[in-house]
Amino acid sequence: MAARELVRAMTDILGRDKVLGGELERRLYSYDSSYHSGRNCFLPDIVVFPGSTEQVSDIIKYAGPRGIPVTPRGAGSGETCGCLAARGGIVLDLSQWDTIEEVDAANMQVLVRPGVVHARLNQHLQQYGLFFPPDPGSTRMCTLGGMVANNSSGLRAVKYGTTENYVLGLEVVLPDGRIIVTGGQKCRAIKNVSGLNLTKFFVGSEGTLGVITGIRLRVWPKPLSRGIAMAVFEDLDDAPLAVLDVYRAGILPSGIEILDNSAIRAVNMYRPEIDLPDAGTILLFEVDGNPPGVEWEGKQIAAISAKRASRVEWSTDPARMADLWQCRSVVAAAASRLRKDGTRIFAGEDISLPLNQVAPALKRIRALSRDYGIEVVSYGHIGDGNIHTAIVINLKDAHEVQRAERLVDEIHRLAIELGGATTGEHGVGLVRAKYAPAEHGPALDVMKQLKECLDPEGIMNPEKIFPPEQI
Amino acid sequence: MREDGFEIDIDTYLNKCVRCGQCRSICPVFEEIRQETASPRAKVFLTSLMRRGEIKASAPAAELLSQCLQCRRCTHECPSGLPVHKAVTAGRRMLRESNPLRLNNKIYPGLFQNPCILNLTANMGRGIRTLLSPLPFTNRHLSSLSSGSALSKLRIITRPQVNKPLARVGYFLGCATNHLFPSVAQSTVSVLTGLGCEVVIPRRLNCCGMPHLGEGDAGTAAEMIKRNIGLFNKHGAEVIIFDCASCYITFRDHVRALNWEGNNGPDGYHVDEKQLYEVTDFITGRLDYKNKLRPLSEVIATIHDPCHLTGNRDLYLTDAHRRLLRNIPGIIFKETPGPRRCCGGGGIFALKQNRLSEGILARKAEQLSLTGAGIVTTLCPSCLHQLSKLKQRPGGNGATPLHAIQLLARSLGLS
Repeated sequence: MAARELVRAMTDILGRDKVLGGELERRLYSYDSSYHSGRNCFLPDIVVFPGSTEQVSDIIKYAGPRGIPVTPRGAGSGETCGCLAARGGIVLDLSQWDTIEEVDAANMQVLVRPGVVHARLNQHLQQYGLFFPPDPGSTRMCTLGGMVANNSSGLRAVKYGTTENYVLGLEVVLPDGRIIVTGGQKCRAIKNVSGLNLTKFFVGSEGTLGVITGIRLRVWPKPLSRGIAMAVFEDLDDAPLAVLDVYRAGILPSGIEILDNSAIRAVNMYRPEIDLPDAGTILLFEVDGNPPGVEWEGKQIAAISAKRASRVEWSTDPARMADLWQCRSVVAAAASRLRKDGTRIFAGEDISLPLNQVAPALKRIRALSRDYGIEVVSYGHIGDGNIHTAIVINLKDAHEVQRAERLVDEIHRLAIELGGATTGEHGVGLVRAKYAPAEHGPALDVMKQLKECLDPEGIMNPEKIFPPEQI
Repeated sequence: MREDGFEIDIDTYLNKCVRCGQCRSICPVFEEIRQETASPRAKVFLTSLMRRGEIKASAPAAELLSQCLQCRRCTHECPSGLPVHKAVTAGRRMLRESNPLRLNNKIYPGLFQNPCILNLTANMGRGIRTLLSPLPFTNRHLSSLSSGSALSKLRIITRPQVNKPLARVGYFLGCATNHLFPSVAQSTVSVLTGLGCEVVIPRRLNCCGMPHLGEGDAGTAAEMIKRNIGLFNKHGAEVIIFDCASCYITFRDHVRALNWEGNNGPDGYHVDEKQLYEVTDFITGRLDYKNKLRPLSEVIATIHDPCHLTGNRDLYLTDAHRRLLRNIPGIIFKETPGPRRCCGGGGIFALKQNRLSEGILARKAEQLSLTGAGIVTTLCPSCLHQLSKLKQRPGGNGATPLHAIQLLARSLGLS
């Protein structure tokens, strides 16, 4: 049971039904989607469900002076232990706080609370002919608070960029309980260079600098038309070259996704009706815009890819497009299906590479997979160099688990060596913090100083982003 | 652990869960409670913890695991291929085994295990209701019971008025239809015989086993199905018809798994998956009914799809339901936005988790009311029972819930 005093204090602020302190309940808040959280127990002392900025501020004002850690959490769909209580304390489950406060269609922006689920926002925006472009594979469950805190992106970052490109301003509760609004208190301007850019400072801060309680997002007119070109390659190496060919032709698709052979098999096992061709690699190019432009670009892409591909398919049929696009978002977990006793683990899963290093990296990863005798399913956002490497292992086999852990480390180090980053969109959390010195050098000290300045007690989401010896 | 059609190697499957959270987006219970503890993945995690001995079976664990309708939506959606609903029942089984003396663990399975006990209990309930009737209050559970069971009004064999019946059809009369909706059973029998079939309802049919499966007692469920199939075999039934979505999938899953194992009929009973039919599927696919339909007075009708018929591979069954409605003259069919949204019934779930069940129903009611329908048809007596509650609410939904077979019987002039 959580300490009685803590339960009483939280109940005073939030009411009894917004506080969970039972042992079992806390245990069920000890995980996210990461492999690491399946093997370690990050038990919070208490879980609470705030529903207003003032409540969050009151909680932090209580926790701060007592040195009680505070960890914000959305849907818990992250892969890095980012929302887990590494040092106990309070977990703020913000997923119930999901009001779409305002759709300001005239000014093309929305104001939302952190718990709004990504897919719900876009569904709601449809009636206004607007959309929020970043498109994570976890669209059906992930929350916008989590997306902002991790600067998430997904399938359409090629053309539309990541979440940070859409955040106009944030309401944040600071580690001392103060409430601020970044990007101008009443500002609804789209362009804004007034003051230091605190908005960008908080986007991607993974809850280490404060709690995001309000998000003003820029939204875009929804393109009138959309199409998907599928190019099938016998050889994995041809696919990255075809991507560069398309760029050189002056075409910028909204998304370019790659599926290697094992990813293709996984999708076909999960959704046989999609019936992907069993080939070495598949590229999916999504183009959007006005109807004649989409048609022209789609056919150009098909023609360019055909030089290297064994087969191309261009589709504007909504049902077929939904199938093809869905196969990319489901492959993440569907990879588990490749082995009867296998589990896909989320570890070392979203390295980001310079575009010209994607082909060499995929080759090296294939070699590593062979060396370690571990299946690696490669897929992801090849258009921006952000590759997912899904590792499928038998969790009951201790040797295999050990080998997988070494393999994950090598994949991370490979990304740094090739001039890339250990994470392109999932965040650092606990699991990538150890690579921070190698990735950032002296810049890490500056990050640490900024963190200390805002959070001298270190109560906000401790042990995340910064390696243990750094804070 | 695959000792019969229902058992799975639960450890292998539990490990498959990567906790991606996709199940949060489709679970009707999670939608109500909105705490991680109520998500399907939390239940998988909880079962894993108990399995590994990291936590003990406890009252809070029992409460969390009872917050599951067994609608199987999570199973159909799980990208990792984990039969999530079976992970929940595996957890319930561990709880049951850890506390075999707990009364609740005995009552429901025991009640459904023996048709005589169930009949006796239902009749006692009817008796108590009669005794209480002069008093100014009613018990909603007792008031759900029909005035008499369907079985008491139906013959073992009902012959059609034609010389040569088209087929000898076994009708699996499930517990809910039998005790709550005898009029559905009567419609099923009169429609099938009216369309030229001979209908057999063996006496001493058992429950389909769904309540036992829900408690993780796969062995008993399998035994009961074997007994039931044996009874149909004895009466020479060519096919077995179901008017209950849950009974149907329980049988089908069992038979499918046995065929897959290649050991169909080890105990002297035999049935092929192709011999099992949901009733509207059988009628639309096998019988000539269209020419016999008479116009009904014009009314808007909508459909509630039972969760147990909306798995990825089973959608054709809900198509049969729609085809049937569209063919009935006078019926203006209007689709509900989200026809597959769960009604919150789930058999015993509605009794054990009444508040949750009511909350899920309220969301369903909202969507039904958007259609302005006068009738809502479904293919499951448990859903029918749940939807009937809407009528009892003050200012309740206007749509009258009916089993599709009742509407068909009306149009065929058989009700």
